[in-house]
Amino acid sequence: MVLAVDHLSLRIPGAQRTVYAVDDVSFAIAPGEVVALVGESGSGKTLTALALAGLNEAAVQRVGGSIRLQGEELTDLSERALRRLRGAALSVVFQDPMATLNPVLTVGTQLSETVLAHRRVGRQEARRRAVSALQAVGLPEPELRLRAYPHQLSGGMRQRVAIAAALINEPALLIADEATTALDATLQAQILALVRAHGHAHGTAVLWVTHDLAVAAGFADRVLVMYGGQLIETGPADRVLRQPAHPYTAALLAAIPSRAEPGSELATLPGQPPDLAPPPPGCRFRERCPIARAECAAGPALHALGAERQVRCFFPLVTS
Amino acid sequence: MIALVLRRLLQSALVLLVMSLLVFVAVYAIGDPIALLVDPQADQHDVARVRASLGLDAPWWAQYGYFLVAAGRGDLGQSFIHGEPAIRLVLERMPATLELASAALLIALFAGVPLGLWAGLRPNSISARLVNGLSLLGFSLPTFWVGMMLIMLFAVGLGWLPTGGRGPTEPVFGVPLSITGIAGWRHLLLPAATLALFKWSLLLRLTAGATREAMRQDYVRFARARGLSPARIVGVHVLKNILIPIVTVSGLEFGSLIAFAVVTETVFAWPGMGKLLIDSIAVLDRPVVVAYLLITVALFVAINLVVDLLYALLDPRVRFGSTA
Repeated sequence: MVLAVDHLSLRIPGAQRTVYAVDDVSFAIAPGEVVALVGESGSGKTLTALALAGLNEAAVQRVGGSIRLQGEELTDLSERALRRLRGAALSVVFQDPMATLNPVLTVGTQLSETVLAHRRVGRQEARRRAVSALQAVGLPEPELRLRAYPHQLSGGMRQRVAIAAALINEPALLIADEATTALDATLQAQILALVRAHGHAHGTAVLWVTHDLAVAAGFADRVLVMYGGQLIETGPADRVLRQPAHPYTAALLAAIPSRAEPGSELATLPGQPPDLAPPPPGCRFRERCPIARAECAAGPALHALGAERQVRCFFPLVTS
Repeated sequence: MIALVLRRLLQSALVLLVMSLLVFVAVYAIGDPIALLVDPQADQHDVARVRASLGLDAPWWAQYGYFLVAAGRGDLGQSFIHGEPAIRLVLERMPATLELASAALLIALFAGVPLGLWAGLRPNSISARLVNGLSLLGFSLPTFWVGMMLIMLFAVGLGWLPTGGRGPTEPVFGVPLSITGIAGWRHLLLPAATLALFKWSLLLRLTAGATREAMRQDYVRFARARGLSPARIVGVHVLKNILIPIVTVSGLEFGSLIAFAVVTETVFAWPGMGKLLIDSIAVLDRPVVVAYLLITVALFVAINLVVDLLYALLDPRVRFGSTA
């Protein structure tokens, strides 16, 4: 396994209330595997992903759990040691391609500096690697692009540059936080295909954070669904999305417009996501769940559903 | 880039022209100089003759035309008091004022920007709040009072520095400067520090604010995610962005330093343009006032031009135009 996360819990202490944002999350990613971490806003998916790179704000505290990257425990590392890993062993790409690159530095500078920060090479070699990184993400005329400033590139090109910068030192793990959400559908598909191909070819593990199940469906090998700070369903993408076991996953799928009958009304989920300060006892979805029963007040654990799947529900929609 | 320079040069020429019209109308067309120049006993005939001999019988736009033509030759009239060309009087004093204003700007920059950067990087610390409070003092204390207090403390009380005046000058490329010797610096220090105080506060707050803002930007987050060192993130990614407002404001404020110098020069008896202006206003030496105003406007315009060019140099979005 490239990445192994065990019992990760995060909270955000406040003057009045403490938010228990991520609760006991465990998962692992194999080399070359593309994993989608899916959930709505406030589900804890972004906090979980950024915690892996130690990039959360100082207010977010880790209360427990372990994060191992290629066998090395990251939670013990100093900021200095983590910095040596960021951009080298693990990379992060963010959502907004318009704001991710520094407007006053050239593309070449921002790519080269990423190499020079981690590798003992000269400027010439760093520049050569920058050219091949741009080639790898499918940017035409890479030599010319090196001299360009971000504002001279389109949004899609900028996100390619950001991904090139993330992949330039051949990391073992790529974390993307809604990295294609701001792009139109065609560009999104191109970039997802590119990342998937790169991941499979180089053995890069990919953790793709998104609120969009359709992205996960076409792109990921495996899906992790988060709700209210907990993992509620995991498993191979095709099986989870064809036959969801958790009522929440099923409800999310029913709300995807392209899957609905033309002309029919879109299914919507009644109610609000749970308040996590503190989280309600029992199953966190039961207030909105169409099949909730009295037993759900006890709170199910995430348990195995066959060999490859897990679900946090007493009454899963599919049985092993 | 060349088109930008040409466009700005043309704009500068227009601004100068408009300003010369305003100054001319304000100073020459209000009130009748004949009343001051001619003996009150003189008859209508004598008055008309003097008026004609001075060209004051022509309509105001024709007078403005003569004024422009003369100004184009570098002639802004004779000082009533000194009997010398007004422009020469002002230009003689200009190096002293520029020396003072430049020293003040350098003090403000070198003390304000690093401190602002430092405070902006740790916005919630007690020391940053202390620095911010101190800069508030710099904003609110009146220049003349600060100048007098500094004189009291360092010149009168401790006797370390002279109370006023300018040190001996030496020509540097034909321009008399006092900063070539120790005595010059001793004279310059107090007035320059007084003049710098307000700009120091301004630049400190501007830098701190811009730094706080920049540190929250996505490009800083992405730079951290790529494992760049804090030195590189602050020294390159943040600094290159915040230099844009700092250079703009410094340039514009350099103009106002020259204007503010009027008060400081008076307090420290600094023989610059500002002191000349105050003296000339006191004795109604109008050609000198006009010459001062026009030269100051020309300086402002030149400074703005330099700021625009520097801005384009620092910000690629200005240099290449936005294509996004």
